[in-house]
Amino acid sequence: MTSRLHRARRNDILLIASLVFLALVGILLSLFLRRDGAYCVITKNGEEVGRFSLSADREITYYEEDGVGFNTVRIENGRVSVTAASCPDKICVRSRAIRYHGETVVCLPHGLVVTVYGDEEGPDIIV
Amino acid sequence: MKRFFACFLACLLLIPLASCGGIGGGNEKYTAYTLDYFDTVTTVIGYADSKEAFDLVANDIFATLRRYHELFSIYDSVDGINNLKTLNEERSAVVSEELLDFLEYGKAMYEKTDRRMNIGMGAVLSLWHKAREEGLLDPVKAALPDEEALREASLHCDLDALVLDRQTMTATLTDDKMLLDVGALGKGYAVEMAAKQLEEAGITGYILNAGGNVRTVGTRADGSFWLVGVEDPNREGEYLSTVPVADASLVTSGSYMRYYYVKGKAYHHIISPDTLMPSEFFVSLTVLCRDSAEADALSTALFTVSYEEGLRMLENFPDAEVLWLFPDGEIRTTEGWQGEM
Repeated sequence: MTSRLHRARRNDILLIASLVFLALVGILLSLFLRRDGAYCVITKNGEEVGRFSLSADREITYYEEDGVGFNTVRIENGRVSVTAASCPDKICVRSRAIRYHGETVVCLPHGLVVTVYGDEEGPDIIV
Repeated sequence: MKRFFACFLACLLLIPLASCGGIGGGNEKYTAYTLDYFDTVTTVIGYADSKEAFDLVANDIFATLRRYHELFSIYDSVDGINNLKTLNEERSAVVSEELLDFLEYGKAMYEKTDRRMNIGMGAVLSLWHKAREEGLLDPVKAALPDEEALREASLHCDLDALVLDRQTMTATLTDDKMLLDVGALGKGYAVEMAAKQLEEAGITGYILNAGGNVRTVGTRADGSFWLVGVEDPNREGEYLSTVPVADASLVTSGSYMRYYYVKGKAYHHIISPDTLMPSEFFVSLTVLCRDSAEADALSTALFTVSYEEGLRMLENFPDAEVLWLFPDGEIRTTEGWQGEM
């Protein structure tokens, strides 16, 4: 009886240790592999409404169809954030400013998503 | 031991979760190109589930371009069809509906651009074409076309002399010396026709590019906009602007594209109907609008007028946006230009 308990505990520890180890590897990998963002894409209900370089500071406000609801997106010092919004939960405003490839800020009530992309991709075509 | 093994498997399951991210949907991106049409390289880029599916679409596009290439040719006869060479030689010909539609469009553009976009300028352009070809073959003897001959030719460029009859499907040149040359409109028109075919078939996720005459159909497979770079002729590999687009056309007209040297001075291929010489207002200009034929026509027409006159012409084209590059390096755009500078 005791030996079975011991074995169970030993396996639990093994499981936990390997999970912690993998999590650490994951965190380290994501830290090393994360790429600086070059531009951000803003979509509203799935449709792209804006695309801006992170290298120039600017502020853009996107209004809801009713003309009252809004989200203000600010690009500053290579980071982008939602600085003001009329949504009830304000989760987008409380999200921290993002700057790495793949990061997002989301405002669910307004269907607004800001995504940062790295600059490894050039244009698809040249004229 | 069994349990340990189970733990190990459970951990393995986590690995893909940790390593995913950044990989797009299942749709692959393919490219095809050909040198066969319009004296330029034509590229098709598109997303499809397989190479075979992509090739089917690309071959359809190439077939359409080929048909128009043959209809528009003024240098080569094509068995079994009356093309523009036939019309230039016979002065009147029964033509296909496709060619008649195009000629009608050319006449409409002539009016809409204040007679700047003129497919009936062949008499003048052929003199320049000949001088350029000879100049490129033998740069020492390179010369400009004879001024008197140019002036004479310019008297035979009134497109009203091209008469179209839908009843008999006949096109007639009523001015004896008029010649058609659709180089400034044909490519864009053909690309637009090919793009419309895709749209009618519900196919999206493609770029058609005939020598810098770009038409996008839909978006990339992941729904994001295509990025089109506007070439900076002064800095290789750099862009004057990068424009995110979907379902739009971009065409650049530039003095750096086709040219030859006479006594050390470069003479390019966009000839002003006023001076009968290469236009010198701009180094390049790029038009962005939905329709590729309109973009092609407009880029040529705008190249031959001043910036101010161009703005006036643009009142006829409310959905067109333009980027101008001046000889001193200055860049101007219309207010609605969406590109990143």
